[in-house]
Amino acid sequence: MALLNVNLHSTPRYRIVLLFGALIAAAAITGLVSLAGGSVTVPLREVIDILIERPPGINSQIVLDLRLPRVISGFVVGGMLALAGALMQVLLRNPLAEPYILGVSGGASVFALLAISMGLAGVWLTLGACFGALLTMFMVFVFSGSGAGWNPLKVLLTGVVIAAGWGAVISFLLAVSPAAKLHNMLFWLMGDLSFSQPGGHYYLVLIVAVILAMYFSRGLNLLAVGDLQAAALGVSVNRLRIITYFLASILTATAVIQAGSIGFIGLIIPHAVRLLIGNDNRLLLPASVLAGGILLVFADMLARTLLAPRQLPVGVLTALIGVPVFLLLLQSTAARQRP
Amino acid sequence: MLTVNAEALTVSIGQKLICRDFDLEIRAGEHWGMLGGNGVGKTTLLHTLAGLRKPVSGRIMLDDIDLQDYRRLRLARKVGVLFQDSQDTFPATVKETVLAGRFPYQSFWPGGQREDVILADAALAQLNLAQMQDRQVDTMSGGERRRLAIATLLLQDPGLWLLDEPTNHLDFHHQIQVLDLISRRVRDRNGALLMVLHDVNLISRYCSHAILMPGQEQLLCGEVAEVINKANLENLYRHPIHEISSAGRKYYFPA
Repeated sequence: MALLNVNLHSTPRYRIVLLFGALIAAAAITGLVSLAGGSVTVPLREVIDILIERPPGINSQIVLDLRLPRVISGFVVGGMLALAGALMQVLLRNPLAEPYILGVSGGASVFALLAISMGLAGVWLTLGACFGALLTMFMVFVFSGSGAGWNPLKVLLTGVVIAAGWGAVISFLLAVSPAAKLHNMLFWLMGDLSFSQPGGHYYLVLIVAVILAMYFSRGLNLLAVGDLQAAALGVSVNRLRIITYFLASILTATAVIQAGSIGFIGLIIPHAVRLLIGNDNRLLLPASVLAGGILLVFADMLARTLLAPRQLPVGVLTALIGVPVFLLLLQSTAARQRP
Repeated sequence: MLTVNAEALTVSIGQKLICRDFDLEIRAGEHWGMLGGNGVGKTTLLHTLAGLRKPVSGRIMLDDIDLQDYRRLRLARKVGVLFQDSQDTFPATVKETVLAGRFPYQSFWPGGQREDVILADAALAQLNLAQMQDRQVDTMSGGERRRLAIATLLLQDPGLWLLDEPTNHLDFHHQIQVLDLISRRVRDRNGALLMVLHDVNLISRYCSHAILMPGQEQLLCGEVAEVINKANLENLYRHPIHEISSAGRKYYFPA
């Protein structure tokens, strides 16, 4: 039994509303605290005033121009990674699946690092990462023969091998790069929100993806039971798998382009949410988006403040917060799960 | 009136041919049993008849429409399949699992949820699973999971029932209970049933017709009274068979 035993059929609607209410409240609080904290602390009350009235002033500039884009970017990227992870786990029918497992981030990293090593920055970095991610997405699809028929194990192995290949190229690039560029490269690899470009309508990707994922969530529930079972109950299995594959890959690619390869969120958030509310994708997918966003915004705030004015790579903090929380959650549910 | 017509059906798995130019007609009210040794292709043939794999050649007509031309969702309202096994990488609860049977009838966000839940409760009760509805599927025994799969099929409420070893893992009591229940549902709905079974005596008890698959692309079809006899069964299993008569029925046992 899931910890809260929330599922759509045996749970009153108010508990589902309560759960999502709590997640949204947590997201809002994390966002506000995150806008307040940093190398300059802005009092919470002032943050709220700034958000509502947009007065001129240095604090207003810090909050609106520097921190707000970063908080939004953190929330969107965290949500994307968690959603991509949850989709990949169902698609590959493997609890160890995560957004980077099929090499999309490796491909993006290789071409981003190439851009850095050529002294390029800004839009070239984005374009490079974008190209690498798309290239990998199609390579995995073609080499695993998924156009003809989908085999989760073959896709997984193809992706893992291609990811390993990119890993070797990354090591090569790091080995031959001059020390001056190394710091930049390592930060990119570990994932960091300070690269996030203001403007860009990348958040639209998340909104469209959430709508699509919710639309297909009932079919995904059946897909988790088995391909034939799903087909016999009326799911167009191949179509659903191809859509899910590209959806998860595009989410991953957008997240990586926006913030590099931030680890851990895509693997652990879906599982943490599963432990709390069960495996029904209609609840799991939106709850994962919220939880992933919250974790990344919170981790990024700590990354900015712990050793301020020095910034830590946010990927380090997602893992440092997530590992103990997840282990505790696993312990408490494992104890209750015995029938 | 439900009719299934297989026309010149050729089915293969890998390089192995299972049947060649096979014709079969299943009409409403008929109960078919399928018998054959291990690995002879019973499941493959069953999946082909369910429209889950394409035949090499020939076609299967369900109510005069080719199976391959059906949309999946529409087909799922007409044909239900009981599989041999199920996976549970991400297990759901018993209630959630049984409600999956309503998938072909639900809109995106299920509106008739309340009726579906009533149907689910009834099906679980019929299969003695009412006490387990909040259990995770992966904590259940083999027989309980089998009954859960059958409850799911009751909710799917198809016209054509294709069952792959429905009595697997079931004790005597539940074997009879489940087959009685399914036969009654098929009859009430004026549907048809085709099931793979290894128990000849259950087939002669519940089926009107049988398909015997001795291998080498041969298929022997007909009414149970015609095709099920000592000689055919010995040929089918390549094993000597004892025949016993009791209370006007014939029973067969491996020697």
